Formats: sequence, structure tokens, C-alpha cells
Amino acid sequence: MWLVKSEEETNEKYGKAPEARTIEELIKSSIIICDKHSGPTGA
Amino acid sequence: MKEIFGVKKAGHAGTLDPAVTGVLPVALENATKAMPVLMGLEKEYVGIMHLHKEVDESLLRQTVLDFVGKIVQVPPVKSAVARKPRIREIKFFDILEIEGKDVLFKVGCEAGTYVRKLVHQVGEKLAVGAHMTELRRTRAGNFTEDQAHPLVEIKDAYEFWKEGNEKLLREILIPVEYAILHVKKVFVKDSAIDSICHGSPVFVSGLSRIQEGIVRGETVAVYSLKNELVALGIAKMDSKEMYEKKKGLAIRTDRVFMEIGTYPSRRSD
Repeated sequence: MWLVKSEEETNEKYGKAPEARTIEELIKSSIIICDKHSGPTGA
Repeated sequence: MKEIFGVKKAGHAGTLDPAVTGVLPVALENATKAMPVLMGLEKEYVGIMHLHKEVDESLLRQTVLDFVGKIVQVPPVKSAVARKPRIREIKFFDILEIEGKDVLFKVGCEAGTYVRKLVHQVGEKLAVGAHMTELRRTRAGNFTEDQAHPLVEIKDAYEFWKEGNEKLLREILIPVEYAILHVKKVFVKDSAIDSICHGSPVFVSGLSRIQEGIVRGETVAVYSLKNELVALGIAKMDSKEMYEKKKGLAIRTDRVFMEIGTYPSRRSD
């Protein structure tokens, strides 16, 4: 499945795992699965 | 959706057909950059075909089966694409129930298949004519009905968050990374990230891990070692080349997701 070219460490000082995102951060970068009811598809 | 969350951009990966209900992925703000990838997801639908005359059941079942596989369709007048004939694949096409002239069906198909048109095509093949009276999308990629939230639920979740309880909203907001699991991925070193955020390509020297099976020309997702989506790009090498070569351009960066400055530039570290 994975070809490991170079085993690396990542610096915890930068970035963060998606699970650690705040709601504010999620609102700017997420997908929502809507259950759409009948009517024009307007986002 | 834009109103509920107060965002400037939102996009949906669905049809313009207003009568179609069901599973609809909607991307917020930055995640709209992933829309092209979401548009390509396979879909499943449950619908009702109304035949203009009753038809012998075994003929109906056989005819429907004839549409499994590659079919040709011309997009309808009200469509976002060019009205040229195009090939689409029908993965499965099952009849669930027949009641007189009404046929309840379930179909699995490639993105961009017009089910309304498909029903019309079935009616033509049967020589009696048919039209679609109801259609509900039950699956888009790996997203199914039980993972779909009606607008009111989304609105409520947002209100609960404003009042201090984020639990429901957190369940609803899917990090873009989880919506593109079907896209082949590579992981890059921290040191390679900043230049990619500026639009530079991914060089072989920046790669940490490569998923097997990437072919040249394929869309690839570039991730940090913390599993953050950095960018989407086009593979200029296949997996084996990316793994074996000591240098060269592996991926041409196409859309950047990560904010510049999230990881430091090489010079400041």
C-alpha cells in the first residue's frame, strides 16, 4: 500500500491534525453531508 | 448554507435537478477547492419510473438489465455541461417493486449520469415511454443517507454551538480530508510544505510516503505528516518512479488548501 521513501518526524510546533481543529477552523474547511429536500439546489 | 454559517463560499456536489432529494455533499469556504474531486463520486439512487403503458415483467427486468454497463447519454437542455453525447457507466440497475405502471428502482452509476434521462431511455427501449416521478440520492461516494443531515438539523447544531455545545456541530462538519479518501495520496516532509503552499511543485526530495498505484496524470492529494491536506495536484510520475528516483518533479501543484505560514519556509527554520 505505502512506499516509504523517507521515514520522517513532524514538528509539533507547526500545523495540527484535522481532529484537533476548532469549530471556527472547521467551518472554513469542511464538507457537510446534507439531506436535501425538494427544491432548487441553492447553497 | 452560506447564511447558516456566515461563510462567503459554499459549493455542492450534486445535480441542478430541483426534484432530486437526498445525500448532497456541500463544501464550505476553503473546502470548495475540493469540489471537482467530489463531483466525480459514484452515486446511488432510489427512484420511481412511471411507464406510460404496463409492460410484461420479465421484459421490463431484462430491458433494465441491458442498461448495466456503459451507456451513451446526451446531457439535457438544462445542464451545466456541453450537450455532446458521452459515455457513462451504470454499475447496477435493480427493480425493487412493480405496482402497475409504477416501478421502484435502485441504480448505481458513474458521476454525471442523468437518471431522468436513463428512465426516458428505458421507456424508449420498451417502446411504451416512461418518465421519472421521484428520485432520491442514497449514496454519494462513501457518504450514505444515515450520514446525511437535513438543513434544520444543521441549523440547530449551529445554534447549539453558539450556546456553548459543539458536540452536534462537530459531528456534522467533516474535515475535507475525510471527504477525499478515494484520492490517492502522498505524505511530504515538513520542510517541503511551505513552498507547496506557495504553489511550487512537489519534488521527489520532499516525499516521505507514497501510496502505491499512482499513475501519471492522476489527481493526487498531498498531505502533511499530521494528516493535513496541503494541496491537490497532478502526478507527473507514477508511484514507483516517485519512490525510486533521487530527484525530479513528482507532482504539479494544482490547488492549495493549507494557509501559507502554517509551516515555516526552509530559510527560517
